[in-house]
Amino acid sequence: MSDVFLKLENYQVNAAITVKVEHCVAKVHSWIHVDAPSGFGKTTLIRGLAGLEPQVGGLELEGRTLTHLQARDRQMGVVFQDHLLFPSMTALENVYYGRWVRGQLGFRREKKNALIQEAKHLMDLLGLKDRYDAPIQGLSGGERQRIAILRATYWKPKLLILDEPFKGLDDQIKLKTFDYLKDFAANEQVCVICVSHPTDFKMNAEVRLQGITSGEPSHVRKFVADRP
Amino acid sequence: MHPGSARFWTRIVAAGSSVFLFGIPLFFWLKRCSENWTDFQFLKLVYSPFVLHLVMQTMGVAVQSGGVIFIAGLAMAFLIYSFKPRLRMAIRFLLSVFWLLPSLFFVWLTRGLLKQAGLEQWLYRFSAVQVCWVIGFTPYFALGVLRILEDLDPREIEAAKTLGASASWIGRTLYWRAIRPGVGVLSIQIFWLIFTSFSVVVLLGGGSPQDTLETAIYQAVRFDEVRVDHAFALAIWQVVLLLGLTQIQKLGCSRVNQMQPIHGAVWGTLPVKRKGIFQGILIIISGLGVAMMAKIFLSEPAGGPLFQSWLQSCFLAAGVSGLTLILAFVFYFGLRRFSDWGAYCSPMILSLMVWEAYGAASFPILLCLVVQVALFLPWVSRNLYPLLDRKRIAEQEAARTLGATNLKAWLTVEWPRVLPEVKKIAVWISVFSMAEVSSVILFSRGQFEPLAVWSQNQFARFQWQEGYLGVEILVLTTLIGVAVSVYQESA
Repeated sequence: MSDVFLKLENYQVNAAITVKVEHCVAKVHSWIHVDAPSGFGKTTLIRGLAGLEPQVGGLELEGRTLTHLQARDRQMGVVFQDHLLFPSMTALENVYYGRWVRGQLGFRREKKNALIQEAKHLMDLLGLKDRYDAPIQGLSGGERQRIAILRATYWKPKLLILDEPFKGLDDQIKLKTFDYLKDFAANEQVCVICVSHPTDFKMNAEVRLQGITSGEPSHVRKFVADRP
Repeated sequence: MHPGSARFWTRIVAAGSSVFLFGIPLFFWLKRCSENWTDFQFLKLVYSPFVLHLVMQTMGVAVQSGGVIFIAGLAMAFLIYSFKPRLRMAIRFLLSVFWLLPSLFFVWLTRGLLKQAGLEQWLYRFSAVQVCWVIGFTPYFALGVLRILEDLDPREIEAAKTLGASASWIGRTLYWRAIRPGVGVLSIQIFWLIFTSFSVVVLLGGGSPQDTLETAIYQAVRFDEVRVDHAFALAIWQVVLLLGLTQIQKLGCSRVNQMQPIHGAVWGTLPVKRKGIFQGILIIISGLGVAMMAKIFLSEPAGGPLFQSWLQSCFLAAGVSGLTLILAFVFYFGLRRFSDWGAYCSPMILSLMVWEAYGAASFPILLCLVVQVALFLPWVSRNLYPLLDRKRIAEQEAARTLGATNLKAWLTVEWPRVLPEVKKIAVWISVFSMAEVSSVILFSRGQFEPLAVWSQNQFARFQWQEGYLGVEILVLTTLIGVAVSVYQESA
């Protein structure tokens, strides 16, 4: 079996702007850092990968083509820039939503309780103890960000996409969150695609997808991997 | 709070108004009823077979119609939500106008539809009444649900999809949870409208035994033998049912849902795009309306009784609109927590209470004014206060640092923000006031017969042509009001 985990080949997202990636491969448990100035199309690229925008070209995860799959079938966890938590649910319900909709909570009370306890434990880890039943409207920006990260990781996706995950977090929480993400990626053997400002955090990314401005029409944004 | 301060005087005015509007009528009413409260006679009346039969009958037709309105309204809302924004906006506007039309128009529409469909045997039964309620109230319900759906962030749906949610899961966990509190409130409002519906039941139900609580209250006091305790027993059931439904709705919502803002109002922002075309259409509608009304009025010397009725309606509507808004502001700054009182009272019982208290004054238009202000004040408060609560504190502080007084700062910063909504509410109150029958009918005697009551009386006397003419004028006036309101907003 090839050790290529994620492969993008002539991949193109056609949204308000067109975003192109000619070639990019990543091994399992690798970090891909997307780096480009504001307005270049980082979020469009991420939305494309998550299956939320029309797209063409090759996108493979563990050898499986994803281009034509819907968002719910792609096995990708996304932490959105604006969190996009569900305001009609509590913090805890948001965290286990991914498992809930996949029927993983099941009907057996013991199993359900165990999974909910696990979610609570993760919330404790990120400093969200006693915020289980808090309504989303009552959470601070930093708390929302951590809930969003837990929501995207708790159901154990194969690829984790982070859109500015450390925005609005203070240094201590930032470190704690980063450690959590690192451990999660190592334990679950997932690949992580991360968009963040260079000043946000220093990461040792295996691959850097960098936006280049020359040689394309004005509506096309091109990302190039530094280690093709 | 210092005696003599602005807040002090506001509270005094608010307290005085509430005593005048609610306190004195309630006192006289209780005094009158207590004359018959001996040996538990009144309690026996409340639980008498006749009253219980009426309660069950009203509940039965209300639940049946409410169920149909609920399902049809939800389906209509989701259907409109699936349309493209421009088409959705146009449909929403048409439905908003349709819902504002007077209930007598829906009586006319239902009669016409049933005749066309060959279902004349449904007339003068509860079936026709229920059809009319469904036609009239489904757009209101659908507009409320649509407003909530449009407030949902579509990106949340996308986020749910990335987490693996299927369409049915999204429906259950996001859409339903979002609309549930609003649907509860809307259902209560629909029940209130059904319980207090008067003209529809009288004209399409055909009278006894097709009575609801509201019409039975009227029957209890309209003849020579005025049975006040009887009317009060019926009114108690009406209030208990509405309060009970409200409590059930609150229990049905989870704690998280109750923390979300509840959208009591259905009116969305009316379309203001393509201003030129839109304003042109509105001017044409208003102009045609005025021309048609002028033609009808000029066909008779001095306008005839129709013109007199219309003038009386206009005076009453203008007075109710202005006074309700002034009192809404006074209550907001004075006695806010009491502004919701009276929201579950029926217009008929309010009329009776005011009649008991101020009957000797013999100024029917003033008594109608008092009843309608008491009736509309809670609804205006619910629509206006959330808007007033979203204060621009920083801007007001900035104005004060520049030398503005509290009042001047409020007038500079907040008033321009709330003014368009205030104008819109003023038009709606006027429109509803003109169409009101049950809060006016008891006071209509001699020369005082506002247009809605005049039209209802024509229908009751089987003078259909005259009745239709009255309804036509009511509809035209409503359309002119809506056109003026939207024109101002778009300008």
